[in-house]
Amino acid sequence: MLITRMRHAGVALCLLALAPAVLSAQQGTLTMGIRQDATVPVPYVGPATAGNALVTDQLFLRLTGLGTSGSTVGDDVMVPELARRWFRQDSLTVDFEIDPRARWHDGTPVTARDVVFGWESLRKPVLGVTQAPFALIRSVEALDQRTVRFRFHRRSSEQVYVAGFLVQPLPAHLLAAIPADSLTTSEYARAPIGNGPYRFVRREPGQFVELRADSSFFLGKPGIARLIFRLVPTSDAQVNLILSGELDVMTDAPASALPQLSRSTTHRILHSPGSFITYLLFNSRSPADTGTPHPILSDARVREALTLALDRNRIASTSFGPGAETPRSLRSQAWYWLGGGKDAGRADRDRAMRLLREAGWRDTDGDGILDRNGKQLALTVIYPVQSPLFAGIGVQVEQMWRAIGVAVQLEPIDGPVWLQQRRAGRFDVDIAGAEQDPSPSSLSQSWSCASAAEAGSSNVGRWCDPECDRLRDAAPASADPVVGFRVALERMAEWAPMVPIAPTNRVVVHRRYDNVTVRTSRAWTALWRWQIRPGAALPRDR
Amino acid sequence: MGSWAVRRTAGAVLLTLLGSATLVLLVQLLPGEPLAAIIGDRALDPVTEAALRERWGVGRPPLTVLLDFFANAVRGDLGVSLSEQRPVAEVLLGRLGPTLLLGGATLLINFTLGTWLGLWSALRRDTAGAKLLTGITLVSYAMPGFVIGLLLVWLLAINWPLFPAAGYSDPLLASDASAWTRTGDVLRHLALPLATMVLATIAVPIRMQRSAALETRDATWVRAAIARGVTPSRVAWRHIWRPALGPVVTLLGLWLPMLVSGAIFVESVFAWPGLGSLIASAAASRDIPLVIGAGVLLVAVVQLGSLLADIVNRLLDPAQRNR
Amino acid sequence: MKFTARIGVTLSILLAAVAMVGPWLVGDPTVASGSDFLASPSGSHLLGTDPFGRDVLARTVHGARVSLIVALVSTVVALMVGVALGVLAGGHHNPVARALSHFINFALAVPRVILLLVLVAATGRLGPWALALMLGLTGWPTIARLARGEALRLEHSGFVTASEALGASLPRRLLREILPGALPAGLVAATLGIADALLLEAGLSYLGIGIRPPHPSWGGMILEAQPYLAQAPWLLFGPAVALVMATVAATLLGEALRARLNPVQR
Repeated sequence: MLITRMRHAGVALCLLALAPAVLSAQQGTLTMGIRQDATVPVPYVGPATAGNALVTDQLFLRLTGLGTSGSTVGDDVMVPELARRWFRQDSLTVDFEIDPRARWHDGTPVTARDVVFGWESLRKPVLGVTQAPFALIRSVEALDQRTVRFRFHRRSSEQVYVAGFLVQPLPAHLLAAIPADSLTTSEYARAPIGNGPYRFVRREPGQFVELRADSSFFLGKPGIARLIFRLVPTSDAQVNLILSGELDVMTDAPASALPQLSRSTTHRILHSPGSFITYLLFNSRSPADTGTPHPILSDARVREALTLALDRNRIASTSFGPGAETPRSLRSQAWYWLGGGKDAGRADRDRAMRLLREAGWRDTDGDGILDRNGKQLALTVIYPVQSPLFAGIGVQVEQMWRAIGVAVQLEPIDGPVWLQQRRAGRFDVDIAGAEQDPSPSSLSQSWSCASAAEAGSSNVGRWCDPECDRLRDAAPASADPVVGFRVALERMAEWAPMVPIAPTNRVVVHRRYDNVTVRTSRAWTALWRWQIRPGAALPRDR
Repeated sequence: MGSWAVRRTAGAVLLTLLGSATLVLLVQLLPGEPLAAIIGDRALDPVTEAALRERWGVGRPPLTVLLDFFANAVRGDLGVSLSEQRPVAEVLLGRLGPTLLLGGATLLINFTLGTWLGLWSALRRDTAGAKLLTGITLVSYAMPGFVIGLLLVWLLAINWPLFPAAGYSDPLLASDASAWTRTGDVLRHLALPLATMVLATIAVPIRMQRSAALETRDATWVRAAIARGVTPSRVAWRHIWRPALGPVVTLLGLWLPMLVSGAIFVESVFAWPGLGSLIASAAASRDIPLVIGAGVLLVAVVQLGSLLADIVNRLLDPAQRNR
Repeated sequence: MKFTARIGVTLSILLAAVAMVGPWLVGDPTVASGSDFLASPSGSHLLGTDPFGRDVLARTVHGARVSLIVALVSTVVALMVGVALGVLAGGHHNPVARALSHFINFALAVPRVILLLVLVAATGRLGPWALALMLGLTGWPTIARLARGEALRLEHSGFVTASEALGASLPRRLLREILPGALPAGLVAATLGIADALLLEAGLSYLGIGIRPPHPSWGGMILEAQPYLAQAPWLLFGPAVALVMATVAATLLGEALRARLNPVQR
């Protein structure tokens, strides 16, 4: 009896001695705040919210990833992920060879069939995936277990990007039997099996999602064992959690929290080029009748005057904080690989007022508002009421335009109603923002003549410049696509249909992490390479 | 009493049904893009959009929606949430726990501590303490809930890290942690939101109780009882407190829905996963099935609250009890 | 008059004066003043400026008018409708009273916030008066329920039964005995309701059916101050202090009124 007890004690002591060694092999936690719940972290099946995309990127890889510059142009700018190599067979065909080590989390190898299945799934209307970016692809077929052949409709230097980055494989062996319209509510959607560096562990709806590192991940062992994505819907609450030490990482910290956060001894602030862009959109058509041009804004001089009247630098720094820039065209910081100029961003009121006078606007009745032929220079600015960011921009725009004699009516509108109203074209100026796709070709969805003609399209300002369309469509197949896109964007800037501001992505990270990289597009795909500095581990990292 | 209770309960059930029907029809009147929760402002081609509308049952005539809703609700199916892609019943159930916890604890403290303080400040009316209490509770009531919350967070979570700054529970707790540890964790997270809610609302029961107690205290029958020689404490209970509870109980019965929708700001500051913030975000994103489901739940809770208040009131008031 | 009643009256008069005359005495609440952005209180800006350069004092004073109108009008509407219907519903064994009771319960069954959302979304933009009316018309059920409860209690109490025995008619009973008896509870609820209305206005601004910018309202100002609380606490000062003052004034005034109406109790 005593001997057994002693033996048990001995075993326990040995285990205790070994324990630190055992624990440190699977060490580290990272808690990150997300603002929308990651309800279904599966490509194409789940909603396209930032929170969902973030978690999806840890669970699912793509055939190829974006390089450090973020460029989408060229066969060799992309970086291998699931695909080990790719070969161009001719100007319209590219073959991808899947890495033999790539596996789904249930052990099954990732095959070409999975890529084909992913392609077929995203085409299903009931999943609601925007089809325009995929227009380049003609067909996807599996040549053998590990080789996929993509055929395209026309030449383009973005073929590898569209095929390798936009088309994600889904596990055919698990999903083929499920009808497409039940995918979002299926058992698989609640506990997805992916092929990425992290496995899905559990989700507490309305609270958090937990992921655990796949130590047999074929591209390398993830540095941090546990990832927790905590749902904290407001940035103020996230800031509080950072300051109390309960959150390790926060993305998109607002400018107003900067003073508090910079004083923190436990966290540091990183600025990474954001892919978000905000802009003031001028309506080219009359709100009352979309068939006729806008009575005030169709005059390019008025648009330029309105732009010059704004101190864009001030708006950028007040609403977005340091690091926000004022590009000349609709270019987020993620598109800086295109080159192109920055706008000085300063107001030039004198020139603005001169332009308005030239366009025939004078203050004839002395009420401080310019008028012409008995009609006042009055504009309605709409924006979604749920966004304090846009509200702040609106306030400043109103102040600055009033100073040159333009009467501004600010109209915050309930989100879903704003969506309808802007689609119907019932506005003068719209404050909008967009998460830009990695490729400038995506501009054709909201800025082309084709979309202007379509009723209910996202080209709500109905802007149409055939020359710009031509430049942009020709760019991918041209000799120097980067220059081609840049020229197209600059041409767009000459219309001045909008006033863009490109904010930075302000990320707050706990100081104990090393090897911290935040990408420009798909910012968090390098998260698995982060590590905890030896000796800096916290008790909760065990 | 018995037959009255049965009739009253039947009335409550009927009103729940009527209120739900009104809600279902009203919500359909909300203008705005019905698929906002799913597509946001993405551009979709007509074929995809049509397929999505079909799949999520959007754009059907209001009466069809109403009939379908009741037909399904009887079987426990409240539809599928557009923003969460899960059954509405499941979403609501998940949020019910934290809501009941925060709301229930607030009610409990308000009803016990609040009425006691109200009575105390009525009986000790002229002391400095009572006046101070009135002043403090008035100021805390006048301040928006989230200001109190932010002050508490700054003081007790950041400056002196005594309590968690937000959330319902610690996600880093091992999944095999004991029930004891789990409960303790939730209670720690509950502390600040609860303190905020109580500070913001305790003025109401205190004032109501105080005002009612002041009235009955000087009423003839109280003076008569004292003249007859009834001891002061018995006077306090029988003749002041019990009758004075009436309006307080009614008010508390009405408070159940307020504690859900009124907690929206507290839930936002503390990221507390309750029904208030769920309704607000569901309404903002036009997640119609979820708005309806949560609204119906609210209607049922209101009816339950007023039913219970009526029953308690009848029990308390001897005059009405025997009708 | 009691000391607290005096405070209530003084504050109320002060607030009314500020709301009526104040806007002419302070600057423009919407214009950016030179280069003072997020400036702390100083000689030229007694309560500092907000991130857009607007003077906080000016905004608080201008906001007084709008916030007070909305709060007062909505409360008065709710009080009038609520007490009237509640007292009528408390009258006993009367088919009208029973029907009214059911109607009150039904009105209570519909959640107020959702009703407001639909009403305002369906009618479009609202000015302060219309918004106040809307708030009042959705806020009466609570007061009605309370008033009905009180009316029921009074109805069975001694002096009303006595008055009935003496042959007083129902309307006379309602007016002379029940209404004055139910009014105090309603008044207390109403004075607390003013603060509620002010806070509700803040919430409505959040949902998009509050006062349109750039015109200031206390609720809107408090909401705008939230992200800057740590670095610019003065943004909260003006509207928060004003809000507290208004609530205190309303409550003390309500108490004074109730003391007036009920001569038995001091």
